[in-house]
Amino acid sequence: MSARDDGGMAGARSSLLVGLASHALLVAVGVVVLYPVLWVLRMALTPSQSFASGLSPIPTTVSLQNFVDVVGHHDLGGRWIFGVQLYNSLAVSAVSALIGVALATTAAYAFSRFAFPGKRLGMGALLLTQMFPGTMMMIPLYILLDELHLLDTQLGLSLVYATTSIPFSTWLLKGYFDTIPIDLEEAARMDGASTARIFWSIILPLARPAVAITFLFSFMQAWNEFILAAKLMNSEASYTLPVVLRGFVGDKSTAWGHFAAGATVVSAPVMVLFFFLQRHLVEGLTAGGVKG
Amino acid sequence: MLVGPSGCGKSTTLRMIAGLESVSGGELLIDGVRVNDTPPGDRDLAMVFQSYALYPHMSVRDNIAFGLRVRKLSASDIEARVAEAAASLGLSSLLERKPRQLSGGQRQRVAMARAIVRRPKAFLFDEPLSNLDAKLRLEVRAEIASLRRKTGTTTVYVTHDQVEAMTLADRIVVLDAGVAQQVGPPLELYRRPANTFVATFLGTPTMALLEARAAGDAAPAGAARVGARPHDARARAPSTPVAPDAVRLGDLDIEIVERLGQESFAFGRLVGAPATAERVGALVEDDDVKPGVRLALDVPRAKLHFFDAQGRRLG
Amino acid sequence: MAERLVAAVLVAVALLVAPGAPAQEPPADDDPRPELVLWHAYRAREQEALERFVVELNQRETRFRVTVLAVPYDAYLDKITAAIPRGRGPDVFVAAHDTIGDWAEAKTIDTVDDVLDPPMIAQLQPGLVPAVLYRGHAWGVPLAFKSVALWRNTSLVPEAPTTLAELEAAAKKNTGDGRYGLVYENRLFYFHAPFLFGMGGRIFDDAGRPTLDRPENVASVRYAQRLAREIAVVPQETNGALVTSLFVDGKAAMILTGPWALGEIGEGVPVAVSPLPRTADGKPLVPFLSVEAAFISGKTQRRELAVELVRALAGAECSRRRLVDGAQPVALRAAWATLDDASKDAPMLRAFLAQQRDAIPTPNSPAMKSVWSPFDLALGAALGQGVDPQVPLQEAQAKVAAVVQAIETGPQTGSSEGFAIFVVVTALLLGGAVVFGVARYGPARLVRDAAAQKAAYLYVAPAMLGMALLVFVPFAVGIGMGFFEHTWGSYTFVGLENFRRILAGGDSRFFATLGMTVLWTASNVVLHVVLGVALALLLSQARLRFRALYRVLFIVPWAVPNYITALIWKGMFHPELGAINQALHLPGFSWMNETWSAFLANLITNTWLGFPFMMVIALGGLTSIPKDLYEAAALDGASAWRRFTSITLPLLMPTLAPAIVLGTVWTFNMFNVIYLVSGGAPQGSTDILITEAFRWAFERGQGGAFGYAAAYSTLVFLMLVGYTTAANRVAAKVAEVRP
Repeated sequence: MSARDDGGMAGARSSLLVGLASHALLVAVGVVVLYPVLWVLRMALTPSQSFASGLSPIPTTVSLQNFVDVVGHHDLGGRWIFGVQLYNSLAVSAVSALIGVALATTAAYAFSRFAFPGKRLGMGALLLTQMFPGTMMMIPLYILLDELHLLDTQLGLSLVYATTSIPFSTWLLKGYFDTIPIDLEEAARMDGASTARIFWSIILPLARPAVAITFLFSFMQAWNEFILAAKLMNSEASYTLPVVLRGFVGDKSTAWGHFAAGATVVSAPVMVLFFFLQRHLVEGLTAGGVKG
Repeated sequence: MLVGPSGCGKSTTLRMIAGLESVSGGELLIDGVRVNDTPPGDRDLAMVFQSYALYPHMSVRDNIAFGLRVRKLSASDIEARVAEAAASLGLSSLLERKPRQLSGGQRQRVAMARAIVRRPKAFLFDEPLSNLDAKLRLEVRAEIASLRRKTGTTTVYVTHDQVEAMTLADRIVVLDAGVAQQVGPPLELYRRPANTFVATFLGTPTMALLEARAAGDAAPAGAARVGARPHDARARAPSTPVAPDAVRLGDLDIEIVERLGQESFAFGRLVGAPATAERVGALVEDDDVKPGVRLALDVPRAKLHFFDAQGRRLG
Repeated sequence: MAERLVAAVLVAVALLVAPGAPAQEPPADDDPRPELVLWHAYRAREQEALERFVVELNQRETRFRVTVLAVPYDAYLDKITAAIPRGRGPDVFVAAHDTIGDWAEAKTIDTVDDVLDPPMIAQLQPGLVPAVLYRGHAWGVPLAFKSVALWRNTSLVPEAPTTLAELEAAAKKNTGDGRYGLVYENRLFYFHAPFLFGMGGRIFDDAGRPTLDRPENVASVRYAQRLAREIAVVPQETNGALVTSLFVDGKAAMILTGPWALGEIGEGVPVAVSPLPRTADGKPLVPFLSVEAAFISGKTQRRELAVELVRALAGAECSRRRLVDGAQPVALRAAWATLDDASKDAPMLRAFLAQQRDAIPTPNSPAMKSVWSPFDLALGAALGQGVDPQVPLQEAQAKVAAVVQAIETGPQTGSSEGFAIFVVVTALLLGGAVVFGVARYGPARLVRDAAAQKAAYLYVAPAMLGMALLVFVPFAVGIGMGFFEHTWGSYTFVGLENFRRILAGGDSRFFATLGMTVLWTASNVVLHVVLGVALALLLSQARLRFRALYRVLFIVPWAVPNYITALIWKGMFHPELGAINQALHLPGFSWMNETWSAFLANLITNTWLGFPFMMVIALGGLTSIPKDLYEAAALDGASAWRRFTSITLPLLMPTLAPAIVLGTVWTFNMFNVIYLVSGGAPQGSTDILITEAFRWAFERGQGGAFGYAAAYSTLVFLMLVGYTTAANRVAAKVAEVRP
C-alpha cells in the first residue's frame, strides 16, 4: 500500500506530536497483541509441564527440552512419528488448499462473469453454509465418508477441508474477479482465446493476490483443524499435527510444556506464510469492495 | 465508420460485429457468410478497445503475441510477425515493458500492434482516441490513417467525434437510437444530410433548423423545416441588400459572438422567436459585432436544406 | 517474488506428498494373524507402558496381532460413539467406567460376564467390580482405578493431616502472600464429592431418584464455602492447570488431585500423597472412584480373540508394566507385590491404593450424566457469589429430576403417520419452492438462458457437486435431525416437539441465551470495527515509519490457532495468578463470578482475536478513498472529525459492510472463545446459542440430545438467514454511496 493521507485525522501542523502519539498507541497495541503469544513461548521454553503463572512472559529457565520431546517424538517401532505427522499435515493442508482454491476459482469465475439461471441461488447457498453450526454436521458427515470409503484417508480429510473452505474462498474470489475489467476478457476472445484459456492466462494471473490469500486461508483452516481430523483418522501415522497437539490435553491434566512447544511448531509455518503474503492481504481481501 | 451520440447503439453494433454481443434478430454477414453464431475468435477480426484492454501482467511482446499463440503459430512466425508489427508502430524498443510502464500514446500503439499482428479480415476500433489528449489524438489519428493505407484492411471504427469520422472514414454510418440514419461518404453526408438528425449531428457549429416559412417562396412544397449551416450563413447589417442567389431568413438578435481567429460566428435568436427557440449561427465579416446588435441572416439558396414534417430531406 | 517462491514451494510440496501419502500404517501383509484394534486415550507414561506391552504381546502372540491407537481425550468418547455403530471402531478399548450406562443401552459395548468370572474377580482389588456392573451384567474388565487423594508439599506440610481440623490448621498456616493452604477445583462436583459423601450426602436415593438438595449435601457445600470464603484457605477459582501449577511453584501447600497430575508436577517439589482426612465424627472423606476398564466393542467380528486381548490387558504382565512403568494404580492385586517400594512412585501409588478403600465408584447410569453440570453450576453460585447452597441445589435438583423423569418415561413414541406427514410436507415445500422459482423466472426463459450459459454450469459444477455431497447433505441431515429425538443411537420422529420445547422456554434458557448471543455479537462487531478502523487510520498516516512492521505484528492473533490463544487468555484472567489482575492490581477479583465480568473476559479475548480482520479490510477501504476529497474538504474548512464522519466513514462503508455481515455470522457462532474462556460461567449465563447447542448434543440427554441440539442449530441458522437477508439490503444501500 502506498503512502497516503491519514484519512483526515491529522493535519500537518502538529505532525511531530501526532507522530509520537501514534507510535505510542501502536506500540501499546503491539504489546497487547504479542503478550499472550509470548506466554505460549514462555511455557514452551520452560522445562516443566505445568501452566505458567505470573506477570512476566519471560521464562526464568530456558530449555529446548519441550521442543526436543515434541519434534523428536518416535513411536515404539522407532519411526520418527512426528515427521510422519508433519508430512500428513503438510500433505492434507496443501492438497485441500489446492483442491479448494481450484474449485473456488472456477466457481467464482462463473459467478462473476456469467449471468445464468440459478446464480443468485448458488451464491445464496454458499452464504447459507456459513450459518449452520458445524457440530451438527459431524455425525452425518462421518456416516457419509464411511459410505464413500473415505474414512481414515487423507483424501477424505482433504476433500472435507476443501469443500468447507469453498464458500468463503468463492466469496472472496468473486469479489476480486468483479474488479477485473471485462475489456481484457473481450480482447482475449477477439484474439481467439477459449473460455478456459482466458481463465487460465488472463483471469488467474490478474487475480494473483486474491488467489494467494484464498490459498492462505484454505491452507490455514486445514492446518489448524483437529476435531474432524481426530475423529476421521484411525492411526497415529495418519494423524495431523493439531491432533497430536490436542493429545497433550488430557481429561484432568495437560502437558502444558509440550502443548506450548507443539503450538509454537504448529503456528510457525502459518506465521511465515502470513509474513510472505501479507502484502497481498489487504488487496486480496478488499478489492471487491474497493473497486467494485 | 460508425458515429452517433452516446447511447445510440454504435458500440453495440461494433460488439455485435465482433461477436461480443449476441444478435437478437436478423442476420450478420461477413464476406457474405452468416456469422451470427460464430464465436468472436473465429470471425478473424481484431479489435482496439477504448480502454486498450492491454493484459497488465504481460509484457508488450506477450500482449502482441497472445493472439498468435492462441492460434498456435510457430514460435519463429510469432517472433517475426511481432517484430514487424512493433517496428511498423515504433514499439521495437518497448517490447519488454509492462503496459503500466507505458504512456497513453504508447499503450494505444500496442493495442494497434496487437490488432495488426493478427492480419485479420477487418479491424474494429471502439473509440480508440477518447482517452488521449488533443495533441496525441492528432498524431494517433494520422497513424491510424496511414495504417489503413498500408494494410488496406477493412476497418470498422466507432466514434462520437465527428472530426475523426470526417477525417478517417471512407463511409460513415450515422446511428441514432439503434437505427442507421444515413450511410455514405463523409462529404455526401455533410452536404446532403438525409434527415434533420444527420443534419444537426454532423458539422460544427451545429446547423440551425427554422420553420420552413422563414425561407418564403424558396421552400419547396411540403417543407416543414429549413436548415442552414453557420458556415454557409452570413449575418449582416439589416440594411445590406439581399444577394440575388441568397434568401434572407430573418433578423437575429445577437447574443454571443465567437471569434476563432480565422473566422467569427455570431449566434442569436430570430426576432419574434420565443426565448426557448434555438440559437442560429452565422459567419460575420465585421469584427466589431457585439452581442446586443440586430443582424440579418442571409443564406445562399443552394445551401439551404429543406426537411418535411417527418424530418426527411426534400430535394 | 516472495509469493511466487511460496507458491512454488507449496505446489511442490503438494505434488510431492499427495500421491504417495501413506494414509495408514503399511499392513503387515505377510502377517497371517487376524488384527485386533485397541483404542485408548492415555498419554505420556501410561501410554508408553501400555503400548510397550502391546509391542511385546505382538511378538509372542500367535492367535492375533494388535494395532493400538491413542486418541486425544477431547475426541475420544465422541469418536467411539461415532465409530463403533458403523463397524469402524476398535475391537477393544480402554475407558473410564462412567459411560457404561449409555454404551450398554446403545449396544456400543458387549457384556463381559464370561470374562469377568468369579476366579478373575477374586484376583482384583475389592470394590472395583460394582463399577462395571449395569442392569445386572458386567460390561468391562477393570484394569486400573483413579481417585483424588491429598498431595502435600512436605517442606510446608511435613505430616499428613488425618482430620479436617488438622487439614484446616495446616492450610491456614500456609495461606497468605499469594500462597494457599489447600487448592482444588472446588467448583467441580467431582472434586467436591469427597466432602459430600464424607458428610453423609448422597446424589441418588435407593430407588435411583436424584436427591441433590438433601441437608447433608447442603452442609457439605457450606463446608466448601467455609474453606473458600470464611477461612479462605482455598483460592477462588481454579482449574486443573492452575492446581498443579501452584503446587509446582510452591504456592500451594496441599492439593486434591489424582495420579494423573504426576506428569505435570514433575520433580521440582518435595511431594507426598496420603489418603484424604477424616471428618470430625471420624468418617472418611469419600472421593469418586473411576475404574478404567477394557471394553469389548458390541460390533467386533472377533469376539473370542478380543476376549483374549482383554485377558492379556488385565493380566499379570500388563498390570505390572502399567503399575511400575506407567505409575498407574492397577486393579490386579498380584501386581502390587511386584512394586518396588524403593521406587520413586511407590509411596504415591500406595497412597492411592489406600484411598481406593474409601472411594465410591461414580454411578454409571445414564442419569448420572445429567448431574455433573447442574451440580457444578450450583457450586459456582455458592462459592462464587456466596449464596446459601440450599437455593442453587434445589434448582439443580429440579433440573436433574426433570431429566431423570424423561429417561424413566422412555423415548417419546414416534408416530409413523406423523413422520409420513413430515416427509410429505417437506417434499411439498421443496417442490413448491422449485416450482415457484421456475415459474417466476419463466420456464421457457429458464431453458433458453440455461442452454446459453452451459459454460457457466461447467465452471460451477465441480465446486457445487463437492459441496452438495460433503456440505449440503450433512447440512440437510443436520436440519432433519431437529425433528427427531435421539436415544442411545436410535432416532424417534417427534415432529416439531423439539422446537416447541425450545421456544416454550421450559427446560432451556433459549431466550436468555439468545439475548446474550445478540449482545455478544453486537458488542464484538462494534469493537472489532472501531478498533480495526482506528488502527487502520493510524497505520495509513502518510509519514508513519515502521508501517510494515506494525502491520505484520497486528495480524499475529489471526495467524495463531484460536483454541491455543483462548486457553492462554483464560489463564490470564485468573483472579490470583492471571497476568491481567496482576497488571491491574486487582488481586482476587474473579472475572468468572459475575455475568458482566465473565462476558467482558470473553469479549476482550474475542476482540483480540477479531480486530485484525477488520483492520485489514479497513486498510483496503482507505486506499480506495481519493485523496483529493480530503483536499476539497480541507479547502471547505472541514475539521478533522468532520472529514472523518463525512468522507472517510461513508466511503469506507461499502468495503466494510460485507465484512461486517460476515463477521457477524462468524461471531454469532464463535464457539471456541465462549467454551474455552468463560465456559458459560457463571451458571451458563454467558453461554451463547452455539455453546448451548453443543452442551445439549454432548453433555445432556440420553447419549446426547442430538435432536434437541439440531433444533437449536436450525433456529440459529434461521435467525442468521433472516439477519443476512436484512443486512444485505442495508449493505446494498450503503454501497450506493460509492463514488
